[in-house]
Formats: sequence, C-alpha cells, structure tokens
Amino acid sequence: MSPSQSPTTAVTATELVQELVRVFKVRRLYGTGHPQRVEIESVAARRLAALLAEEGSVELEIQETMLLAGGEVVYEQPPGPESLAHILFREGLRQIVFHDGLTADELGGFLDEMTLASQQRLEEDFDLVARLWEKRFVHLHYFFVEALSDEDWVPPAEERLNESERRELHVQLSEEDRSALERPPTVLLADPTLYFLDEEDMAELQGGLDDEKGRALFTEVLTCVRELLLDPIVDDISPAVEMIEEIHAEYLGDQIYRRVVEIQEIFAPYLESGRAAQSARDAFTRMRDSALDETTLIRLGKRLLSGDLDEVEASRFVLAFGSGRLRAVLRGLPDIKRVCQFPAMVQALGGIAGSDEAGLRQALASEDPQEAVAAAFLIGLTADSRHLEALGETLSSDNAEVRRETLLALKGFGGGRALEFVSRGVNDGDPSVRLYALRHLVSHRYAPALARVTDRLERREADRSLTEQRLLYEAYGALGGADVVDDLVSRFRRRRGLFRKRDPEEAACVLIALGATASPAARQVVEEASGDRHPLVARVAGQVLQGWGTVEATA
Amino acid sequence: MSQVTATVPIQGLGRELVQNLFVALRSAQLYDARNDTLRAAADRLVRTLEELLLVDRSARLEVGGDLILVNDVRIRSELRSYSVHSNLMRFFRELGIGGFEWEAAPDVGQAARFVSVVGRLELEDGSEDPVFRLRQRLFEEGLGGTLVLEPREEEAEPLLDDPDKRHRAERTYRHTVAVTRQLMDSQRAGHTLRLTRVRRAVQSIVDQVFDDESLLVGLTNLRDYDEPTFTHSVNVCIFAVSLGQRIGLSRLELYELGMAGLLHDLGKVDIPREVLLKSEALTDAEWEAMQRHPAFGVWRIMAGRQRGRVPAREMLAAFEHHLNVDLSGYPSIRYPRKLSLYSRIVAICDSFDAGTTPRVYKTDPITPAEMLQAIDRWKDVRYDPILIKAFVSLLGIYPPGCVVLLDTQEIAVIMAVDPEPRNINRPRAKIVVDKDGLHIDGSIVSLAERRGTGEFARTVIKVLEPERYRIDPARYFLAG
Repeated sequence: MSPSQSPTTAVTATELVQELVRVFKVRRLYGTGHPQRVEIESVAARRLAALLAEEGSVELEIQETMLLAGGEVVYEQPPGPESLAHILFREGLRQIVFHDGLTADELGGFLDEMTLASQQRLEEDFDLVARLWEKRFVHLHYFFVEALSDEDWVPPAEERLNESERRELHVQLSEEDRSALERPPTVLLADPTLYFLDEEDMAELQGGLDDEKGRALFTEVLTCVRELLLDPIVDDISPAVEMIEEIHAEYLGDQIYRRVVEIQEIFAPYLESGRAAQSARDAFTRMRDSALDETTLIRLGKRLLSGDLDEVEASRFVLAFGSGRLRAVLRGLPDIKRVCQFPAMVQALGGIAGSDEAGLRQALASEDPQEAVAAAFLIGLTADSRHLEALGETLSSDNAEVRRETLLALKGFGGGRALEFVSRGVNDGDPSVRLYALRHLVSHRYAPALARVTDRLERREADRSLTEQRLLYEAYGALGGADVVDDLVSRFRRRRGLFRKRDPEEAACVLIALGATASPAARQVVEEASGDRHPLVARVAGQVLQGWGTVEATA
Repeated sequence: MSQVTATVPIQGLGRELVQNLFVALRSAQLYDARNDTLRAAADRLVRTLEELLLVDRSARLEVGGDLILVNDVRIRSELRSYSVHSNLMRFFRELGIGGFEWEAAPDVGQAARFVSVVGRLELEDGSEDPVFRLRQRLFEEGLGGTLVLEPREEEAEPLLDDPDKRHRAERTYRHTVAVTRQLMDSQRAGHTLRLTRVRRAVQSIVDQVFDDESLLVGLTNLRDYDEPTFTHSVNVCIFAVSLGQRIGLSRLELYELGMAGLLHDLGKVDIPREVLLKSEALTDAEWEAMQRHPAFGVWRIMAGRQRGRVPAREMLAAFEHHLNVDLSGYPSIRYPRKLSLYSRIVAICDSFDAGTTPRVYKTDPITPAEMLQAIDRWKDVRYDPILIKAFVSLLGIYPPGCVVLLDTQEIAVIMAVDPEPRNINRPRAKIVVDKDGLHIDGSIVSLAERRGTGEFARTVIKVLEPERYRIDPARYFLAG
C-alpha cells in the first residue's frame, strides 16, 4: 500500500478525528471502566465503523501540530500532551491510515498507546512505533520516519560480475565436475528423510518450547553475569552490579522470595572467591539490608500468616538473609509467636539464633520491646541454657511485656536456677507476670520460693485480684506442704470484723491451699468444709476433694 | 519513510481454523453430535469462524495442490501443525472436495452437525459428483449456510516472481544492514547503545518472514566483504527468525529472537578490526582475544540497557552462542548451565552463516550445502539435533544460494526450498548456465517437477564452487 492512495474527503476525516479526539480526552480524564468513558468509547467505535464502512479508508497526514486529509487541515492543536498530532509527530509517525473493519479492540489498543505516550515520554528504545507494532493492527496502518532511509546499505559492486562480461563467458565444466554427470548424484546428507521432523521430534520440540517459557530468564542472566564477574575482562563492573540490584529489587517488590534468595546463592561463590570488587560487596550489603527492612519483613510475615506464602520459601528467605543479622529479623518480623507456628520457620529462626549468641543477648536487652520479646520467645523456644542468666537479667526490664515473655521463656528451662528467676516474678509489678510466676512455681512445687510467696500473701493489697489471691494461696500450700497446714487451718477458721464473720472467698482460697499441701491433716479440714453452709466454700471443698481422688460429694 | 507492515492475522486465524476444523472432524468420527467433546470442538471452530468473519468478513478454507488457503492466504505449515495440515489435505482429497466457505458463523449445534455429516461421510466410488453429494447432505440437514467448494486446479506456488515482495525484502535487508552498521560504528565510537532503529528493523524482518521467509533467506547470500560482521549479524537474525517461525514461536518471541540474533556479535566491536579481518590464521593471542567477544557482547548490552529492562534473550545469546550443547566451546564456564533455546538457535544460524561467508577467520568459505553437512556432523556435541533438523527443513538439503550442477548439464542457483517437506532435496532453482555452457537469465524452476513419464525433469548432480565458474549467487536474489 502506498502512503498516498485514495484521497479522503476532508469531511469524513474531520469527523473521524473528532471522534478520536473525544475518546482521547475522555481517556485522559477517566480510568478504565468509568461509565462515561465506556459510553463514549462505544459510541465512537460505532461511529468510526460507520464512517469507515462508507469511506473504505481514511488517510491522515501527520504534521507537528496538524493532521491533514487530502491536503486539508482537519485537526490543529499546538504541541502539548493533548495534541494528537504532536504526539504522533514527535514519535516519528508521518501518516496513519484507518481501514474499514477497524474493531473496537484495535481502536482501544491504539488509544491506549496514545494515552500512554501523552502521559509520559516513552522509553527511547521502546517508542510508540515499537509499541504499536506489538499490537498487530489489521485495520490500522502507519508510516514513520526512518532516519537512515537514505543510507541503506549497498552490496559492494566490485564483487558483482559485469553483466556483459558474464554473458560472454562460456562455462567449461572442470573435469571433476564433468565426470560427476556420469555418476549417480552426490548424496549430501545420508538420507534426506532423516530430516523430516516426525511426531516425536515435534513433541520434543514442543517440550523444549514449554521448557523455555518456564525458565527463569533473570536467573539465567545472573548465572551468566556470575561467569563474567569471576573472569572480568572489563574494569568497570557497575553495569552488572546495577543490574543485579535492579533484579533483586524487582523480585523483592514482587515478593518472589525464592528468587531473591537465589540471587544470593548465585553470587555466593563470587563474593567468597576473594575476587569480588568492593563495589559488588557494597551492593550485596545493600541488597541484604533491603531484604530485612521492616516493610519487607512485615509483608513476608503477613503473607505467611495468611497462608499465601509457603513456609519453606519464607524460612529459606529468613535463613538466607537473617544469618548473622538476627536483630534485624527480630526487629522486623511481626508476631513472631504466630510465625513460629510453622516448623520451618522455627528451624530457620532457631538456626539463626543458635549461631548468633551475642546478637540474641543484645536483642534481649534491646529497648525495642518487639525485639526483646521476640528474643525472649526464641530463647524459650530453643531452651538454650547459654542465655539463662541473660533471661534472668531481663526480668528487670521496664517493659511488662518483655518481663512476661521472659518469664514464659524461663518456663521452658528446667532446674533450680531457672525456677529461682521465676520466683522473682512473684514480686513483679505486673499482675500477669506474677500470675505466670505463681502458676509455674505451683506446678514445680519450688519450695525455696515459699518465703517470697508468704511475704506476698501477707501483704495487704487492695487491687489484688481473686485469681491472684487464689494462686498465692495455692502456691503457699504447694510450696509449704504439711508445714503450713496449721497456719492454713487457722486462716480457714479465722473470723474478722465486728460480726466475726468469715470471708468466704478467702476461705475458698485457703481450701485450695490445703488441697495443694497434699497433706492428710489438711484433708480432714477440707472434708469438713464440704458440708459448709456457704455454697462457695462447700463447692470449692468438693472440688479440692475431687482433686484428691475422693468420690464423696457434698450437697 | 517506512511502513510497519501490518501482517494480517489471517495466518494465525487460518492456522486456528485448520486445527479446529481438523479436531472437530476427528471428534465427529468418534462421537455423536450431542457428545460434550464434540460440542467443545465445535465451539472452538465456531469461535474461530466468528473471529475470522469479524476481521476479514469472509471465512473460506480451501485445499489446492499441497497448499491450504484461508481467505486466499496460504497457511504455512509449522512443525507442530504439520501432521494436521497433511491429514486435512488428504481428507479433502479423498472426499473429492476443495473446501468450505461459511457465509456466517454457525451456532455450536449446527457446527457439531456439520462436522458429523462431513466427518462421517462415506467414501463412495462412482459417478456421483462428491461436491454435489455433500452439498445435498448439508442441505438436508439444514446446513445450507456452509458452501462446499469444488476442488481447486493444481496450482503451484508462485516461484519468487513477485517483484514488489522482492523489492520490499531487499529494502528491509539493506536497511537492516545499514542500521546494524550504524549501531556498531556508534558503539566503536563509544556512544550509548541506541536500539530504536534496530528494533524497528527486526520488527520488519519478523513481518517479512511471516509473509514469506524465502526472499529474505535468499538475500543472506549478500555479503559485505570489507566488514562481514554487519551482514553476518543481519543474516543470523534472518535465519534465526525463520527457524523460530518454523518451530512455532509467536510474533513477539520471534522479535526477541531476532534481536538476540542481530546483537549476538556486538562484542566484536571490542575486537581489533585487524584481527576480525585478518587474512591469515589467527595467532594464539588473537584467538584468545576473539574468544572474548561473547563476554564483551554481554557487557555492552548490559551497559547499554535501559533502567528497568533486562534484555535477557540478547544477553544470553551473546554469551552462549559459541557454547556447544555439551558445554565445550567458549567462553569457558565454571558452572554447568543449560543453554537457552534462543542461544541454541543462534548458534546454528551463526555457524552456518559464518562458515559460508568468505574471509571470516580466513578459512575458505564452503558451500551452504557443505556447511549444512558439517553442522549435521556435530549434532549432539555442538548443536541441538532437533533444531538442526528444523534448520535443514528450513533451508533444504541445498540451501538458497547453492550453485548446483543439474543432470540436464545446466547450472542453477538454488533460490528457495520447496514448501512441501517431502521435496526437501528438490528446491526451486534459477537456471544460470544452459547446457551449452552459456550464462543465461533463466527461469526459476521447481526441481520437484516431473516429466510426463513420471521422472523428475531435473535433479541435482553436484554442488559446485561458484567462484570457479564466476557465478555470484547473491545477484539473483536482488530485485533488479
């Protein structure tokens, strides 16, 4: 098709351009799916189809600020993002032809690119012409400037034979070639049929194509770059380093964690080879930092917890970047307790913590409560006795959450030292810490803590909850055993106040303590109490007796 | 001013139509018209017909000779569709019909009944006109909207005689060489890598290969003897895109492959010209320098890339095109890797073109046919054996540009491979020297042509060295 066929009436061209401009404007104003945009586009597609059906085709010549048809100006707009003419001209297009049959998809595709070109300067290497080519239009043709059109390569003339000289030549076949005429034809390839691609070949080829499509091109490129870096032939390796960082950032942005890890693995031999340039080392440090920044770890944690990310992939990522950088992991990873519901994550975090003793201690002492809590949790999880003393010290943290987590961690340890630390929790300022401590002491019947418990029990605390009161008594009974039965019995029978009344709640707590002593002497008192007139006292006594294995029940 | 040829997607839709019609006919032979499998196949057929009618306002599938045409466009048989094509052609021939034309897209039920009627039509000996018989059957079934076409007269494909096409192909070739030269010159001058024009040139090559690859493949016989790298890069691009098309790569994939082919030797910019053009054997040091061009190529592509884009295909082809499939070759690598498909394609095309180019590394050029033999000998070690098969099927046993002696005592230049795969050793050739030894501007003949006796009219006896007879094969591919 030549660029100047079938002159188009300016009227039709004007109408066509008006439709284009209308849609172009609407697209700049409204996003995809906006009702007004949809409506105008659909009307325009219909009108253009009708115009083109009548006219066959419409050719528009493109000048810097004008579109012309048949030599007449049908559109004029000074340079700017709204000027169709200018955008097309700037991108090197000089003529555009719309043909009958133009589909709504084609129109949309064309205008998509125009809108993009109006909003941003397209990359030089991927300009409007290149983008339009990818759209593969059938009813829309365009012509563009070729800067080199007048400099096409000409095959060297001296190599071409002079025509008349050639005609005068009389070919005499060489003896060898002539003799070939008397022999059977030379067989070039043993059997040409071997070169027919059969079904098996095609299947293999298809497999190869599928395989190719499934390949991670970036990974392939990176392994290629690794080879180049290991045997550098250029002084400036910055293009490689920049590209690696860019790929890393892209994978990280797309949250393809396994690929981010893969980059580290690919270049590990280079970084460990001793040949790595400082600029490359710096770049990899930056990459590692970015992999452990808070945003990244929060996103990773969220995806893991929502079930959107495979725990093995997440753990590989954490292990790859967190090794030696435990504190960054603990600072960034949210909700470590839930994260550690995944065995692979426990293994990864345990591994990192196990190999970074100093980091773990620093984290434990951190002023950032999230970090300290996470550290305490990890220590509890691994029950690494190297950190027992540090945990004990952490019980003096200002932050109750940290102390609570520390206490929970201590519960993971056996032995007197750990229990001694736990017993300190009895006097903690935070009630929940005290409760944790008391429960643990009860379950371990850690007698050395009796003095602390007794001291606490004796204190008059207005804000003490019934639960704590009950636990204090239980601990008192459990740790004191038979030695405190008498005291408990007297507490049980104690009457206070003007009317010499017994406090039923305290009596119930004392009964629990008596039960905790596991002493036969205590049992008698409890049995008696099971018939108490106060229902609370009687019910608790019954429960205590049940705990002793007694089947007797009192009404 | 250039036009981006808007390749009508009839090729793509045509292939789809052939595939979907064939599958539906096969299904109809197994299932009745209400079966879900058959209805699914019929549904696909209907969709293709709808799209074709929308895009081209016509839907006609014809079989003529060894060709399938959809709306008069020859549908090229690709590797993956070869058996479908040949089976459909055979089916039509056996039925004695030329094809079908749909005035409007049928609904799924109609389409299922249509393929049931056609697919289960019993072949009958006899005098009854098969076209008439099928028309009647379809009419009885209420399917008169589908026209049955008479068989086409045997019609050979035009033998490269379209001057417009030849001119366009030549223009594309010359322009691409110029663009490549400018690219490499600007790289030598230390300028930034600008690929806009290269991209457009490769896009043109892809369009032309889609249209008719034989013309561009023929033009690869043109050489720049002073600086063969430019024509070599373009030739590799053309061969690669053509081979890629054979194995069924999409248009965008072909474009990526073309870019990879065109830029594969960019690293030669860093090799001293005296080494590139040296007429004697290279010294060890020179050879060592030469072996660095793949790595230099990657560095250049990497340095010239735009932020946010990783030209992976180009980089891999530049790096891997001298690596053999057994990972020997160069550059020597420390870690095993699987060569990319694009690199394996570029490697074959590169070797073929380099081997047949005079004065490259100062070995004597060998004929394309000999080069093809040499490549074939190295399959499994250097090259991918299946891709070699595909490459041979692209170029034939006697690739375009070969000068051959025929059993008629004529000398001919091979112009194009025969489109029918069974004629792989019987290409189309231009007679350039008659049996009396006179240079002539002979016609292009098909070596698959037979005499009345059934024997082939002409057969290749031997591949000749063109220089010996002062024949310049390249000139026959120029538009004039």
